[in-house]
Amino acid sequence: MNSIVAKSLLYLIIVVSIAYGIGLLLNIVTVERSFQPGSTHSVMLVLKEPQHYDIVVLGSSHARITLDKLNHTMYEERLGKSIANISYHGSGVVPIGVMSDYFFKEGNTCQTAIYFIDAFIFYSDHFNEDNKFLTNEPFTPGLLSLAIQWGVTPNKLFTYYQSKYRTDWLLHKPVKLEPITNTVETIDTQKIRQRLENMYPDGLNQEIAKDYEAILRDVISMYKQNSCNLYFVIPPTLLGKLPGQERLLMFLEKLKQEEGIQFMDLSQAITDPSLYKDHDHLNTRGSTVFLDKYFKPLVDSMHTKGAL
Amino acid sequence: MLFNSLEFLIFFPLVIAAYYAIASKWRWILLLAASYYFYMCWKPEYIVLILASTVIDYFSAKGIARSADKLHKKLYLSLSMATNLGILFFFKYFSFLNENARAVFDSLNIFYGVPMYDILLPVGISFYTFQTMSYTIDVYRGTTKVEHHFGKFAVFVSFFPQLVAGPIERSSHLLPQVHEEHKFSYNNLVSGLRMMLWGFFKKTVVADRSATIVNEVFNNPGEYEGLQTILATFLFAFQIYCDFSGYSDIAIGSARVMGYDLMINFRRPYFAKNLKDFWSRWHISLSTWFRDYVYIPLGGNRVSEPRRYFNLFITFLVSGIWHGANWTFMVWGALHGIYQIIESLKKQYFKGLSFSKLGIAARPLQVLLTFTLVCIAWVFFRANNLGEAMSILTSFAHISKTQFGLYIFGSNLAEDMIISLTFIFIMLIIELFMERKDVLNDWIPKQTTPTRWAFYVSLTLIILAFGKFDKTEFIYFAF
Repeated sequence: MNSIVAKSLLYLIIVVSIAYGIGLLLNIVTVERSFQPGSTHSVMLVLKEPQHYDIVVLGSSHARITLDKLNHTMYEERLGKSIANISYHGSGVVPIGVMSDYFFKEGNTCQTAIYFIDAFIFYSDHFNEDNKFLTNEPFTPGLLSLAIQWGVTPNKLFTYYQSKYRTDWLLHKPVKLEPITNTVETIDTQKIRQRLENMYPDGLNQEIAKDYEAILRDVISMYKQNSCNLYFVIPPTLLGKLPGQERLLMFLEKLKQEEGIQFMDLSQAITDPSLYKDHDHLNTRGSTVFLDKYFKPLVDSMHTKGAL
Repeated sequence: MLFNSLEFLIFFPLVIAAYYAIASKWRWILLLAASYYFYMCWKPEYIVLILASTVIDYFSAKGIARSADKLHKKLYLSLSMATNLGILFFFKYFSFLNENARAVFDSLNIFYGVPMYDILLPVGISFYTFQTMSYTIDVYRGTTKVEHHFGKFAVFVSFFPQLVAGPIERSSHLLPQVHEEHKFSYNNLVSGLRMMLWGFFKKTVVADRSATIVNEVFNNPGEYEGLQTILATFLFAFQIYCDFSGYSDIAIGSARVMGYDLMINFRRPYFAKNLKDFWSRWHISLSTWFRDYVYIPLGGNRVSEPRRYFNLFITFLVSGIWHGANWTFMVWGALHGIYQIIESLKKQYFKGLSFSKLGIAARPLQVLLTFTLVCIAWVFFRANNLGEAMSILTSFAHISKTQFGLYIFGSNLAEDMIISLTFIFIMLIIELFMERKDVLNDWIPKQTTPTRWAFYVSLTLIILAFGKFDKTEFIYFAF
């Protein structure tokens, strides 16, 4: 029996060591390339060295696309602030928690964090612990450990590891920093219906929402502990009022009263379809309007109050 | 509980540790509890069906053994068959028949009052009902002894390695093993784990990677044609083979770790040189079940030629129906029945038409032809309905230059296609060697430790790097 246990342990050590080693080796190809902000969906490939950022933008695709490609440079130049983007398409509070934790543990600091918060992220594990956000990132022991701590599913941990063997990782290069020019010609109710179906794959389970609200509180505590002021923005969309938005607003109101955290509901702020690349995301013109009308005044007001 | 899940990776070692820790005479209790838990992880309330099948067949067999006259024996046998087939009919075929009856009545403008029910198919129902039915039939025929120990009989019915997708074991093979004392054997442990490793490779790397392309094409048949549908059909042939044989390997391997010997269910079917050979290699436990309990009782070969062909056709048609409540499965079964008849006629009346004249090219051509015929039938097996099956088959002819290339299915699926084809190729090379020598159970154990470990570690790393671990069920769970 002892020899069986010993052999099993030895086998496990050999397999894990080789698998681990290959995973780390496969990073090298991509990690050595230089990525400007907006040229990749990876957080770590941009934030290579620890530094201080004036603003950290958090959220799902609304945060990602608002600062995608040329937009990131435009925002930094117009605001005169350094910005880090911690967001992924379809990411809920768990991915944001993992990457924020990584951000601070790597020695980065920030003055303010602006979280583009969406109602849909609270209603499915698909956007949270069962999200494949890690496939955008290099395979590192630190990130793997954090992902385990924050409850990322074993299946998605495997997907993280396996993604390093894929050509879209090995051949991942910076995308061209150009404007996003697609526009919405007319409102298409069928596309809106389809989008809403995709955003709520598990319906509106209030018990699940409660769990993710608790995780969001953990994220808030993390930013507070790192002396970073957090501000919530409900981003603009053509989808109308999202299911669960009432609950989100009530939750944000509660946070405001309990912890003094400010928020702004901009979901109906921009209604011109030509400023959108699809029914839910702004194009570069839209992002510019958003920057001038809402984001810059918000940042300036924070500056006045001493948050920036 | 799925084999390819974290739950099973925890469940299995715990069961094995407990199995060898407790005294041999109590192991049946542990196996029964573990098997019921294994099944109940899917849907707890459906354990009632396995219990019902177990109780009815236990007492039916005892009744058959106790009865002096044939009439009473037949009554008990009828009770067993009616219960098992009744359960199978209700859960598997009622909705299909109800839907089709409604369509017929509606077309004739006749009121049809039977409501539609949403009936969930219990996992493994086709397997365990057939397994228990074969027991009572064998007791009736006098080819197996009646089992008096209810608990051990219940283990035979619900034995977790083979409960939900076979192999369908005969009582004369499995039941005596439940009574045996299985001492720990290091050889059984290693060979069982080796078999499981090979099974996991086939399932997670080959089957589940191929599934992404197969599902895309077969669920959207109008959007693909020519080389795309041909390649998707080819990939489905290996998806279903690796999914099912992978499950069987894991089942056989996990049973072997406990000292149990389960029957081999697949013997490299795509190396078959004709359809008869194919069916001696594919889902052997089911094909032998249909041979012994349908084909032979119908008269088998001991009848006139036309009757023999009729028996063959019916047996394969019933086999198709067993696979599922859809016209596509019936057509698949009927097609194989027709294949058998044509092959038999060719052998009898067209002896001159033989591949043997082609010398060294004979065997490869026979294998290729057999594989092609099997793939044509697989289109019906996989398609969602007959219309889509015909659409896929007719699309084979629309080959165009634009379909040749890495991005035949678009850039999203290119990588899954390369991974699937690469590992199908590697698997076929290994299986080609297996045609001459049992690589897994005979050749590898004779190699040096570094060579053996290199094989095991490589396979494990391939599974870790390329295996799919999302909640993809085994195809045969739907049966």
